[in-house]
Amino acid sequence: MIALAFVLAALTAQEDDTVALTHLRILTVTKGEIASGTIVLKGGKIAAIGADVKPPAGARIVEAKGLVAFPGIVHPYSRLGFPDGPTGPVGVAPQNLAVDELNPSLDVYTLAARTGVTTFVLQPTGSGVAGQAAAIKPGASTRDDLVIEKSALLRIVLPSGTPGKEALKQALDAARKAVEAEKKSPAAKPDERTAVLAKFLKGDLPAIIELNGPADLLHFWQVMEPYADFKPRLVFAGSADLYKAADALGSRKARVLLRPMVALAPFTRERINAAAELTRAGAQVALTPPSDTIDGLQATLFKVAELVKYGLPRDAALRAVTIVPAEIAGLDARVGSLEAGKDADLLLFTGDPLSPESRLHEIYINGKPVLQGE
Amino acid sequence: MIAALVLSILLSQEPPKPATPPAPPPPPAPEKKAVYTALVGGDVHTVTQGVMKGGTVLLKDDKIFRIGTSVDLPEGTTKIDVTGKRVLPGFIGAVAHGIGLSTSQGKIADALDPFSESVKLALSGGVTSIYIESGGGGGGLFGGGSAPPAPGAVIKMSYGTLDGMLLAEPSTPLLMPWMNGSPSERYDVRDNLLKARAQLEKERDFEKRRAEGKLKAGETITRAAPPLEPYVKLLRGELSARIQAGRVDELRRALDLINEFKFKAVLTDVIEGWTMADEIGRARAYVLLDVRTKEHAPKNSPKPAGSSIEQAAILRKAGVKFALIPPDSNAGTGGIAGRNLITLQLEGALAVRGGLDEQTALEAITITAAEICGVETRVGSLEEGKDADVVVLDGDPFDYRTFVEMTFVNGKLLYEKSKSPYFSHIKGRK
Repeated sequence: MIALAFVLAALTAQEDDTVALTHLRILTVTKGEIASGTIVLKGGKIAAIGADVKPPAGARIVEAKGLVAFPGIVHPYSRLGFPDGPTGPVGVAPQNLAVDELNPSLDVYTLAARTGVTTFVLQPTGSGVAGQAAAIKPGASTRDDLVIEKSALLRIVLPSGTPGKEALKQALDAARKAVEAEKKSPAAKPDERTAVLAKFLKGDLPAIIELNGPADLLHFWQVMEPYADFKPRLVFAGSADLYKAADALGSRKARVLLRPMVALAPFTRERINAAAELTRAGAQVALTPPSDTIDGLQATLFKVAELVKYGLPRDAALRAVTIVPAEIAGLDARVGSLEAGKDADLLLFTGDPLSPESRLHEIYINGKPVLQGE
Repeated sequence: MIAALVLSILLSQEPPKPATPPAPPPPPAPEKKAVYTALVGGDVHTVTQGVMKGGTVLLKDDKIFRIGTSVDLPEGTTKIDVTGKRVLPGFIGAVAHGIGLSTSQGKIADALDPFSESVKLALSGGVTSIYIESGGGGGGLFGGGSAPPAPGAVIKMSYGTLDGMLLAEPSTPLLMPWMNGSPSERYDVRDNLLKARAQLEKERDFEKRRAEGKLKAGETITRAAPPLEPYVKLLRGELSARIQAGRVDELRRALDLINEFKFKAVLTDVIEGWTMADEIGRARAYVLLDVRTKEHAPKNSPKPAGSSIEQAAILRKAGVKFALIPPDSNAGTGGIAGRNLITLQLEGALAVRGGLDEQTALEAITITAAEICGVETRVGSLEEGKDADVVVLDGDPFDYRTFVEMTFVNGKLLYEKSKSPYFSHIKGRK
């Protein structure tokens, strides 16, 4: 009898947890646009989404007519709450963890939850093979609650010149030896440092390659030539100058991470929209917020809209702040689009997300409202 | 005096050997289809084989394939009509700074930046290869913290690709301390040269006895290793060395060393060379010449001194080979109105103004500059088999109204004036 009462109570609690947002215009990013549909949130996930979805019995129904749903923004290159920019002398320290730098009691992690960015990939400090980035969701105050992935991607900074290339060669060589040793005898355990590098080379751990300019891209590919048998998962990050190598990046369907800025061609007033040039060439572009400040995070879509104004296709722009950065960090099974089964991280706008007139009305992270419009 | 004369005659009978040609690039993959580009109808200034009116220059991949007045064009050739234009070999900057490198640290091969805007600007001046000096210089406001000077490299202005960008990287010994170092540094240079000479004599003796079959059983010789190796190569004539020498006293000091050790030397920053042209000629030293240098003679100088616009012409008469260089060895937009590498041909024009013949002026920015950099077998003239580095000019190379219309490097069209943000709007005389 007592047991039954307990089960009933649990069921009621679960039913209370279910929310159905109805009559939304939905930009799923990966599965097109739904003019008017329902999103069911349950247990922190998107339980159902679509035009014909009926709210389940017992669900709390939120009438959202006039609002536009968009996935939470994924910020793939952040130092939120970390001191200074990520720097340091060139070295090979793949075991270095960004999560070790995290101070969860800072209020930025609470404030950031109200900006529209719902996933941050925090980059470790260092240069050369710098270490592993961690993925967090803002709105919590303990490390365990913030961190969703301790080892999201490997950060490799390739400064121009010999030391950066030498560090990379050294890392790749060690990784290959570890992979080959593993093939010969699966029991062979590489040391901690080499194990991370091997994961990267095999494509099990994605990597971000930070470059000064397009020439270093050519140098990187030159260093990688002897490793053509391996298929590491890469994203290239750098200045707007990377557009100069658009053909090479496009033909490889490479992923490129940029700041959302319209640049000027050297010594001229000629406008260069690097994101548009790279998209046209066939590359997959990801865009970061303009900065890690609260203002910068809030201005993300405004900046992205400017790129659309100057030629970036709208679809590529919307993907560039959601699913592409999620893929970069290997988080695309959880975040980056509005699909059934994914985390319930969503933004509700009063109009089109790229319109400067639209207001961010509601934010859900893991199905919980962190910003509620009045 | 007589002894010195005899010595100099003896010396002049032993000219430095030409540099060994750099290794040819690896052959292209066999299945790759050849790309042909033909420049048709222009006046072809080959530099080494005269001028051909209304000729055709046919490029195959990265080489010059045919030059002539009736050249058969293979099917699929991209034909570019250059009637009324001049076709020349790409110009060569015998000294350059801040072009095509992203950092002055580390190896030049690792620092190449083919996307640099300076590369594009160099191309707009028809410059296709440069001798780049990395490291050294700088020094900041108080002269401290300057990087140690490093040997240079010859790089091509291959915009957008690392392929074929590094043309040569001689490990040239640095003789600068001989001119401006402390006494101990100066005599370190001399010690190295003496050791290198002893090593060379040992090697020559070994080779001679081997040729005569007079070696002892199992006899071998230890070859020179760095840091001595470059000095041995220098004395063998495989490398050249640059020495900064402007005034008469500096030139004398440099020539003393050159005459004693007999090596291929390149005198840079030369100002008063015109007052002692014959001595430079006898030492077979090359010269890098900035025609615009303006230095006054010291007050009450009893002898000719200071700079002269006639220096190029005077050195030519004495048989001295020289490359012309601009006052600024970079390639910024400041050069649109002259003074840096993007208007290199204007340096030729100014040398002609000082009495130099046009052929020598042209050689001084092409084949002689290539020779000074040790790459004359690859670039510097239009000859079949040489690299396809070609410029198309809209007029006489030494007319100040002339613009570069097209620049090819390794067979690729990398600059067109009509598409340049810096030059397309300049209509000039047309």
